Order: sequence, then C-alpha cells, then structure tokens
Amino acid sequence: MYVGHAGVALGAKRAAPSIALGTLIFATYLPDWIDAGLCITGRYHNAQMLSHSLPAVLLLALLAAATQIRQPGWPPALIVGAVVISHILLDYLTGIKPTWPGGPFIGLEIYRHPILDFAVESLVIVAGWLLYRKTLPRHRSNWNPANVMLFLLLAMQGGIDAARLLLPSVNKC
Amino acid sequence: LIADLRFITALLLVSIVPVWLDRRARRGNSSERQR
Repeated sequence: MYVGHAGVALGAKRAAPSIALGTLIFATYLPDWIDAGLCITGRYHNAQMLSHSLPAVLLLALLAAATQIRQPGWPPALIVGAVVISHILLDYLTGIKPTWPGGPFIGLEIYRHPILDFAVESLVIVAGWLLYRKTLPRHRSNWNPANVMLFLLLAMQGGIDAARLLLPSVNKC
Repeated sequence: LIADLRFITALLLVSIVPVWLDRRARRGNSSERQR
C-alpha cells in the first residue's frame, strides 16, 4: 500500500488526539523508512525480510510503542504500535510480502491492478480522513487545509497508480 | 540513485504534506476562534 497508510495514521489521530500526527505518520511508514535506509546504504533486498516480515514489524511496533511510554495511560503506546502493525496487514492486501524467515510470501497483490489499487487505497484514505476531520473544528471554506489534504493524498495515490499503469516494471528501489 | 531518490521523495511527500496541512488546519482554527 502506498498513500493508504497515511489514511490509517489520520484515523488513528481520532483515536489518540494527544499523539502528534507526525508521529502517527512516521509510525505508519516505519517499515518503508527502514526500506529507504537499506536502499540508501545499498542493502535493500526485494525479500524485505528486515523491514516487512512479521518479526521485523512486531519489533518495530514495540520500539515505536516504547516512544509513547511517557504518555499517560496505555492507549497512546498501543495505538502507535497498532499503526505500525497495520502497515504489514495492508501490504498483504496490496502486495506480496514475507511472513517470517523461511516462511511463505503472502498477499493479494492488487498492485497488479492499479485501478483496483486506487479504489482500495482511496477507500482507506477517505475513511481515515473522515475520522481525522472530527478532531478539527468546522471550517467554513471548502478549500480549507483538511480538504486540501484529502485532495492531495488522493492525487498522490492517483499519480502513483497512473505511473504503475504506464511503467509497470519500475522497481521500488 | 534516481530510484533511491524517487522512493525517498515519495515517502517524504506523503509524510510532510499531511503534517503541514494539519498544522495549518489547527492554527487556522485557533486564529478563527480568537476573532
């Protein structure tokens, strides 16, 4: 999943308004940031065992949750951890990802159908954004920052899916 | 290198845009309330 992960972060903001949106966004893309780091250092491997396998994501979720232990109560840590775990669950829907070392690769791989991918990711983005919007007081203007955010997220997703339609062989790294 | 930059740029964009607009939305609302 691409921009759909941001939808999860937006939805989580409704569940835990005390957590900064930046923290939730970083948590939702944490496995991809690990990939980006591996990409820069030349250690990226399509197997993605270090970033997208279940043990790797569980470890990342624990680390991310640990950053919230100073927050009062358990929900912030739990929500940040759950947001990290949501990454691999959604990636199993859209891509094909590892389970554990030596385990099978699983996933519905709807990336192969960019229009379907756009529909699914847009659904996640809009659902998350509708929850997120409830954390903001109402704006009068239609072109307020929250609406612009929805527009830009959907436009980014559309751009990515259009690129996959036109250039299906382009690799992530 | 281009592939690295494309991936990281996409990640940065999808991370920075919502955070920036969230800040604007909340700042805009507080100044609207003050008025």
